[in-house]
Amino acid sequence: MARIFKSLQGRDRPWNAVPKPVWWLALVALALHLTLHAQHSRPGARAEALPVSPGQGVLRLLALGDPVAMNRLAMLWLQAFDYQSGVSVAFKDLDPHRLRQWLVDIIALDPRSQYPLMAASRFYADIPREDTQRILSDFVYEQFHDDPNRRWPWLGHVAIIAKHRLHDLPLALKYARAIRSEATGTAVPSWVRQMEMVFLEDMGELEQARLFIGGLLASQQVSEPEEIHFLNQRLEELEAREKEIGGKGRPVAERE
Amino acid sequence: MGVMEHRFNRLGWMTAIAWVTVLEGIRTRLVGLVVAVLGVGLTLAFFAGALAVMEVREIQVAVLGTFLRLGAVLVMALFVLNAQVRELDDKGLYLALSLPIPRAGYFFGRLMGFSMIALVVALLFTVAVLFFSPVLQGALWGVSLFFELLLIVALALLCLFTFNQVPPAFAMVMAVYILARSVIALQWVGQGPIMPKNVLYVWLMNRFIDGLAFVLPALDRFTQSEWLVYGNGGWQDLAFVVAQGVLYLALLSAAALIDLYRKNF
Repeated sequence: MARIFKSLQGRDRPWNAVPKPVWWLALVALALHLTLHAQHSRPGARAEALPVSPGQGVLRLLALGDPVAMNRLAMLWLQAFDYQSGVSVAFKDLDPHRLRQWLVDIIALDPRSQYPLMAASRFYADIPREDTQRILSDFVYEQFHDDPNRRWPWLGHVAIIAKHRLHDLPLALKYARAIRSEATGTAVPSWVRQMEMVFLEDMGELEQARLFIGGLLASQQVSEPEEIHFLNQRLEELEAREKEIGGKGRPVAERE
Repeated sequence: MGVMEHRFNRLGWMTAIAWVTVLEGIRTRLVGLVVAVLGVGLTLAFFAGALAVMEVREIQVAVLGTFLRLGAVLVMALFVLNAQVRELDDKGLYLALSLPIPRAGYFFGRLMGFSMIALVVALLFTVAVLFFSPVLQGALWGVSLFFELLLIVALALLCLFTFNQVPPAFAMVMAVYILARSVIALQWVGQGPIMPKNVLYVWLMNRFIDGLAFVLPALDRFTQSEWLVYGNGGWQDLAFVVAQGVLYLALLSAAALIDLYRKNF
């Protein structure tokens, strides 16, 4: 070790071979550079408008043949753009149409990536602006059709947003129906398919909810005994409620 | 020999070294390469303009500016590194050091020569950009490009004195350049609210990025396309570019000189 150190040391001339003015130049330049940086303290964030997406062609060009990496990098960039520290205002001031276009172009780079859908349903659809929520929910719905068995969680999330944030039960029902009819893989949990029933009940469409459960049981999509028992129970409850409404002469929705 | 005569001789040697460097640029077909970069940039700009349905001039100047900036940096970095390696291989450096001039004289001679080439490159590219942008904004862009190239020249010299070979020196030049342009974006991402809080490694990483941002030149504020597109460059930008350029050039030169003086040839 000592030999290596000695040989390394021996390659260069000693430090005092450097003239003093050079040291002074280094010290003064460094001090002035740091002073300049301290004075021009850079802004932590700049609230900039989200630019228009350059389009899939340009993004593919920039990817230099590696669209999967570009997909991730562009997503991080987009996310960092919104999360400009200290500029929380910028978050809800994002142009939802531009945002949607960016997400469309980014997911096209790598359709297997779930990140754009997660961002759309969890980050952006949560923004307290109805137009943003609707546009981003629609983006998730549109993308869901391409790969329903992998993308159902995000549509499920926006269905809940449609019900609880947008108070738009028909929209929530539309999303739930899409999940039930298209996400038919074995990995899709049964409660997801039953969302449609819950929304129908909430809308006061008891007959349709009853038919839905009946159809589900008849289609043999449900195999677990506990689940069959649960659905039968719901079916009985719905029939009882229907009789009750029939007795009072008007539907639940009207009474509410 | 009088003191004045001695100093004049030193200056004469420096000028000679600078001139040899310029001649090297002319004779190694650097001019052809620069013209080719310019031609490709203009073609790309016209092509992009033909594709655009609106903001045609803005798209053209943004494409041209970005391409020429990156092209100039790459051309200058590679030229300096290759020229300096040739100087080592052909023993030109040994010949220069055998002359009655200090090592600083040799360094500043080379720096002066490379700077003259950088000036010509910046001038040529600025003229091209001026076809698409307001004169003052184009001029500001050109001055900024010149200072950016000066920093690249000094950085390339420093890296080559340190590594003696093109691949590691070029990698280091590019790493510093890319970091200097993107470190502010790294700071944004690192401080975002979705980053985990009160986690040691995140805190350490953020402090490291802050340290880098403090030490590196603020190249993200140099040669901006928005000056050409929106015409919003001003005297403050010019003052910052000149101050940052001069100070960092001095710092890089001092570091390169320390390395050169310690070298045992």
